[in-house]
Order: sequence, then C-alpha cells, then structure tokens
Amino acid sequence: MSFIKSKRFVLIALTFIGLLSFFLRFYKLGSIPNGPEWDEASVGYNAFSIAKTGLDEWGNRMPLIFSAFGDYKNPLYIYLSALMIKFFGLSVFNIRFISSLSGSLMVLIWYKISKLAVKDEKISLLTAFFLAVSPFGIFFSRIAGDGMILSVFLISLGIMFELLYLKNEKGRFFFLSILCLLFSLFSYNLARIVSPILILLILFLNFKSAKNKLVYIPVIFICLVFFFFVIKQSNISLKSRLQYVGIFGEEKGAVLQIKELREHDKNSLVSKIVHNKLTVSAIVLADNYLTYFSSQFLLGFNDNHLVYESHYSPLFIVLIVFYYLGIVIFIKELFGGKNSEDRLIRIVLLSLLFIAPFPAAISEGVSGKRSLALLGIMQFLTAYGLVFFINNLKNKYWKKTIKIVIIFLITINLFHYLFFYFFTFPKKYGLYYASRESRICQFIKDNYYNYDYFIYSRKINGFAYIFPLFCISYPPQQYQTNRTYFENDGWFTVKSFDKFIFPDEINSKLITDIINKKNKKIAIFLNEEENKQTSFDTKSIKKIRLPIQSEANYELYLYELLIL
Amino acid sequence: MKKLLTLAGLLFLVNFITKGLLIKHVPNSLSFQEVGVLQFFKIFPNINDFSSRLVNTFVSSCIISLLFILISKRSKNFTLGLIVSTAVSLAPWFIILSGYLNPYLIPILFIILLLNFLPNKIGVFFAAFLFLISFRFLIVSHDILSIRFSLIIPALIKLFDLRTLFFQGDPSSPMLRVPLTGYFFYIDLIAFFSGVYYLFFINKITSLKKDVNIVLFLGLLFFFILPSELLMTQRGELVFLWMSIVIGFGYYYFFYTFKKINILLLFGFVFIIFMNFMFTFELLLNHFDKKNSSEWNYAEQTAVKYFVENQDIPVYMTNQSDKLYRYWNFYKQKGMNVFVVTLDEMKKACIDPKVICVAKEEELSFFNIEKDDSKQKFGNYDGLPMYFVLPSQ
Repeated sequence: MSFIKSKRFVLIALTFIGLLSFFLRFYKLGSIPNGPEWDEASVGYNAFSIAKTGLDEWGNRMPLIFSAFGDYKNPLYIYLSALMIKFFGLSVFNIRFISSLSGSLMVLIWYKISKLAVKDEKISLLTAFFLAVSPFGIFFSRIAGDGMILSVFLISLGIMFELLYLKNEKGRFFFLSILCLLFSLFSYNLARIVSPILILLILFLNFKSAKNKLVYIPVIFICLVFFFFVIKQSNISLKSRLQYVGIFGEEKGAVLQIKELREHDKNSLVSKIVHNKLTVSAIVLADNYLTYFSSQFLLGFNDNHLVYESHYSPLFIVLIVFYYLGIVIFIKELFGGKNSEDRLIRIVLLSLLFIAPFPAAISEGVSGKRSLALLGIMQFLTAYGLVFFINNLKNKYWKKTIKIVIIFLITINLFHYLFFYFFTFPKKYGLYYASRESRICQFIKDNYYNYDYFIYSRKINGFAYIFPLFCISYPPQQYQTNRTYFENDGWFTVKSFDKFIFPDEINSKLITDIINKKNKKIAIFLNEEENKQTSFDTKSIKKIRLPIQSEANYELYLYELLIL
Repeated sequence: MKKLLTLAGLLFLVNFITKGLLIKHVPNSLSFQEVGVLQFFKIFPNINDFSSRLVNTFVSSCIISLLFILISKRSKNFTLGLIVSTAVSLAPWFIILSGYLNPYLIPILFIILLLNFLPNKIGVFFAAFLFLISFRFLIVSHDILSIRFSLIIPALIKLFDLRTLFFQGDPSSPMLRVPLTGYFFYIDLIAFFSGVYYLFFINKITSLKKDVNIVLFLGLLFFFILPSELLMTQRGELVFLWMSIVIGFGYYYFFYTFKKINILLLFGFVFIIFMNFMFTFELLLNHFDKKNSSEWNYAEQTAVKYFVENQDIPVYMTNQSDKLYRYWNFYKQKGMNVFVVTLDEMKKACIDPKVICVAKEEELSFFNIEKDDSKQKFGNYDGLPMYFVLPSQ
C-alpha cells in the first residue's frame, strides 16, 4: 500500500473527498430539508434586516445578541449571513450557505488535524472521508439553525491552529487558535461551554512550552475583551436558556428522583444525606454524559421527531467498534513512549473528546445538536481505531477479506443514509421543517397583490409572522413601523403587519370582524381542526386545498373570501 | 491445591451467608416468576416462606467459588481469582439473580463447571451449546426458535449500551432494576475498559483469554436463542458474566498499577469503590423493593395474607382482580373459598357481612364508595393502593 504515501495519490484522494463533501452539502441545499423552518426564517430575516438597515427586526442597531422570537439568537451566523444576503438576496440557499461551507471545510480541517496528530496518511484520509459522509456532518451542514456547525467549525479551526502551534511554536498560530475559539462563543451555545474550557487548557499547556511568554499579553487581553462581551450578552440570554433546557430545574428529572427516594425512606436523615442534589445530580449528569458514548446514541435509535435532530445515527453501524477501539488505543498511547509534543497533541484531542458532550449532558433529553462538538474527533478516532485494527491483523488473507467486508458494509450504510436523507427524510419529517408554512409562504409570494388580507392563526404556527416576512422579503423599515405585537414571558408575539393578521385562533368573533371588512378580498388559512370548527355564512367563498408534500398528513385549507 | 480449595470454601460460605440474609428483604414478596418455578416442582410454600430462594443463593455461591478456582488455576494467581470472583459476586445484576428463585443461574453454573473440568475448549463449547439449546427449549420456552434480525440488532445495541449497563439497568422491565443503577457499579465503567486492555494487550495466558472469550461467545449465542420477550437481565446474563470477569481483570490491573505508582492512590481508589458499593447497596436494600413492588406482587401477597388470616370467610372478586386471583390460586390448598363473579353478583354477595369483597379502584364507583371508605386496602410497598376490601353493602 505504498501508493498511499505518494503525494499524487493523496492529492487526488483529498480532492475527491473534498468534492464529495461539497456535493453532499450543497446538492439541493435550498429544498432539502424543506424550509425555511422557524429559526432559519428568523435568522434569515434578521440578517436581511441587518443587511438593509443595520438594525435587527426589533430595531436594535448591530446587536450583540438577537432577540428574535425572544429566544436570543447568537450574532455571528446572522452577521455572516447578512453578507451573503446583501449580495445575493434573501433565500433558503443563502441562509444555509455559511453552514454548508463550514461543514465542507471542516473535512479539510480535520484532515490537517489528523495529519498533525498521527502523521499517517491512511488515518488522515479516512478521517476526512468519514467526516465527508458523516450523517451528522451532512445533516447539520444543511440547516442554518443558530450557527451550530459554524461553532464546531471554529472550534475545529482553533484546535488545528493549536496543533500547528505545538508543532511549530509560532506565536501567530497560538493567537489564531484562541481567536477562533473566542469567535465560536458567538455562534452557538454549545461553544460557551466547550470553548472556555479549551481556551483554559490551551493557555495552560502552551505556557510551559512558550519560548516567548510575552505572546500571552495580547492573548489574555483579547480573551478579556471577548469574555466581557460574552458576559454582557449572557446576562440577557444564558440564565433563561439554562432554566429552559437544563437538568437542574425544580420539576426536572434529578429533583424528582431525589423526592421519590426520600419519600421511600420517609425523609429520614440518612436518606437526606445519601440522596441529595449533589449525589443524585452527579449520577444523572454522569448518566447523561455517558449517553454520548453509548451505542444507543451512536447508532441512533432515538427517533424523537424534533427539528434539528438528524434522525439518523452519528456513526455508521459497522464503525462503532472502531470508534471505541480508537478511543482506548489513543488513550493508551498517551501513556506510551511518545515525545512531549505528541503527548500534548493527544491531550488536546482527548480533551475535546471528553469536553464535547458537556453541553448536551447538562440539558434534558438526548440531543445531537448540543453534542455536535464531537463531530470530527469522532471520525478521527474511528479512522484511528480502524487503521490500528487492520494493521494488527497478521494474516494477509484475513486482512484483505476484512477490508473488503468493511468497505462493502460502509458503502451499503452510506447509500442507505443518502437514500434516507434525500428521499425519505423530506417526506417523513417535512412537517418539522415547516413544509406547511412553506406552502402558505409560496401562495403568499405568488398572490401578494391579489388579496387585501392574509389571515392565519398562530395555531398553524406559533411564530407565524416570520414566514411572510421572509418569503416576500418584506422591507424591514416598513415592518418595524406597521406591526402590532405583545410580549409574554419573554417571548414576542406579532399580531399583525401590513396585510397579515395572526390571531390566536380562528373563531366566530374573528369571522364577524372579517365580514365587516366590506369590499375586501381575504385569503384565510385553516388547519384541519379549525376547518371543522369554522363555517362561513356567505356564498362568496372559494375553497382551495393546498397540497402538502408530507407523509405526516397534516391537512391545510385555504379559503378565498370575497366580502361583498 | 489445599489453599485454593480452602479459599474457595470460604468464598462459598461468605457468599451464602451474606446473600442468604437478604432473601426475605430483597425483594420482600414472591413474584409470579418464582411462583411459577415452585409450581413447576409442585411445591406450595407458606405465604411467609422465602426459603426457596436459598436454592439460588446456593447456586450463586457455587458459581463464585468455581469461578475463583478457574481463574486462580489458569492464571496461577490467587489475587486475580479473588478479585474477579468478588467483582462477579458483588455485581448488582448477579446479586439480583442470586436473590430470587429463578432457573437462570443454572446455565452460568454449567458453563463454569465445564470450563473447570473439561480440558478441551471445543468440547466445552459444544457441550455448553447443547446445554443452552436444551435449557432454552425445556425450561424457558417450548416455542420454535425464530431469530428476527430486525429485533435482534436493536436489542444487541441496548445490551452493549454503556448507559444501560452502568447507569440505567434492564430496559425491558423495572422488575430487576435497582433505581439509579445499571447492571454494574458506576466505577466499573473505568475498570471495564482497563480490563479489556489488560486481557487483550497485557495478559499473556492464552488459556485464560480463551476461557473468557468462550463465555462471551456463548453469551451472545444464548442472547440470540432466547425469546425476545424475556427480561434483558436474563437474556444477557452470560454477556454480563463476561463483562463482570473483564471488570475484575480491570480492577486487578488498577490495583497492580496503583500499587506500583503510589500506595495512597490505591487506598483512594479502594475508597471510591467502597463508596460506590455502599451507595448502590443502600439503593438495593431500601429502594429496590419499594420502587418495583408492583412487579413483585407485593399488593397481591398482602391481600392473600389477609385471606389466609381470615380463611373461613369466603372471598369475592371480579375478573378485574385477575392477577390477585392467579396469585391466590397458588395458595388455594389452604381451604379458602375465593369466587370470581360479575359486579352485580358481587354487589348481592356483599350484603352478607361475613364475606370479603375485593374490588379494584376503577370498580369502586359501581358500589358508590370512596377509597377511604374501604375496610382494608392492599397496596404496593410504596403506598399506592391496588385492592380494596368493601364494607358491607
């Protein structure tokens, strides 16, 4: 297998993997998955608003955090998307572009990381290939979300620069590494846990080896500046976010467990000593943490029907054994006779592996998106384990046979995944990617000038207003002046703007109000439940049923009302 | 050899006594499974009699002693043998299987016996294979074997799921699950990986490695041939045995390494293991039966005890209380009269103050009475009432 070492082969293989990665991430990007879904529409419109006016949808100038629906979105992805939108306009493709680009480039970054870590071309190419075809890699690169893959991209870039620093000891790599990790803090919340720990680790590891300790002065300074902004930003968002998704709330799993165990013992003193927040929460936390190394997560048998969950396993079934093997061997070799530089590189990579699940472990439920920092390191360790396994097979015949079997199984798994993602997924899970809202959107886009009012209740969609804003690229200045809205428990609800009305529900009072709008042509959208409950006592109704491309079988009805 | 047998005997005694002391408490009622085993042998014990569970305690103690002999003989290392057999003996899954009457320890005993006394590995494998197949068809289920890969693969993934193994326990039912605990201790997770490393990369004793691999191989085979409705603890017991043995190797490797580095480190590690053991043991002793009492028929057992105490009085119930009736059936030789009737018939019968009428919660409205108006309640161990004795109508 000496050809693997030839530069030409590596270049061809890497080009192929790179192209494959770009293809799998950009092919039909604007239509698979359906969209824009809620967050994409919100991110897109805020980016559009920034690009046009420098203000977000709520009129704040260049904010550090975007209020959006009241969920406080991180700024980096929105600002980067604003650049795209400024030049190419507001579209689903353009919102997802930064994500796809980050996901594609990550493949090359991890090739480099792998090469720096183990100097083995086979492992490096396999790492790049596994990442290029990784179900998590593909899925999360094709949605904008809140800049999830961008944060992982920046973390990976930070790791790559740190390894370059450990290899070359050039101060600029150290600086760039810290800078990437600091920027990741503004892309997705998982980085707010992963990156600070990595920064501390890098500062600590590099301190000993740094020849010129003066490099620490600008690094510490820039860290302080970034953390100042993060703290300022977190005052608004982080507390509410943690209460919402964390495991330590009053009615959350750990607290309920403690209550139950203490009741068994009739609240005895011993029970209070043994079953308290420290012990039980530690176990729940460890249990959650271990989830991200467990086969059920890695092989993805959690079909939780949530948006932003890939509905497919992060690893191909045949690779799980090699992932575990890779972890064990990589740890074992940390204690082997390697030089200090290699050891430091291993410490950095293993730290990433063990820190990455923390954001998901402190939140409730199993979450692919919060454990996304595992992307890259997971593929690297899998490649590492696989190559170790193959290299240790002594019998040539077995070596060849096992290689063929593994390639065959990976190919089957890959095609199964691609079929799932490009054919099954859009139909089966379209509803979670707002296929219904997209249909309404399309109708509005095509018929904006044909109607005087468009009405649909928030029963169809909690944040209905964002879809028409997005799909007709409604001018932000006008939107900010003619909307009506209210705030409830920190969440913003828009009731109307321009021709659009979003009532709580379609009921008889609303119908009476509509009837009073003389000489108006109204498009009213109802879901199945509303359609059953509502009757229009007028002859001038044209009923259109919108076809929805979804197996979820959610009906949607459109009535054209011409009030005479 | 004498020392080996003495130590094995001691291990047997310690196991038998400590686990024997638990049989009445963990769990504190006889399950349908146990009742089924006793009925199979035409045995009808007294309602307060848990002594039948000693059979399992005995078998489990034999397993531990034989395992000690096997590992010590193969490795020529008593410490390794002692650590491995202790790791198996104290594993939560093994304590639970040792604590109630069930036939599932017999395959383990048989395989350990074969490994001890049959020198030929292929012979061991085939004998064990035949035994497991016979056990499957004669004891577990007479149904024809059907392996469905669509069911097997997810089950296999669950079986090897780290979270299930070390934190959550049996995913198929809470019956054999200690709250907040897996099949093993939390700290066993580290020992397991260290054990894999020790066994496959450091240990040079091929025969020992082969024995351990045979256990895993047979474990997977057993898992495949057992019906999928069976509890995961029972289906996967040989795989768990393999894991416990590997965990034992892991602890040995840890002790050996720590002893070389720093003795304080060793004490620290032992302290952590001890704390983990105490925490889990507290959960096993005080919470296992409370949390799972409905699976262990605690309510049925207390109700039957009440019937036994009032054995001259006829008992009426509807088919809603089917579970109670089946449980009572086991003790029916006591000369009690229990009648399963319709609600209307029961209403008529309950006019007589000298009868016991038992209803379930959903039936109380038919008699126009509230839960608190009942003469007697039989509930789960944690207090949730299941059956109500009606006052005279």
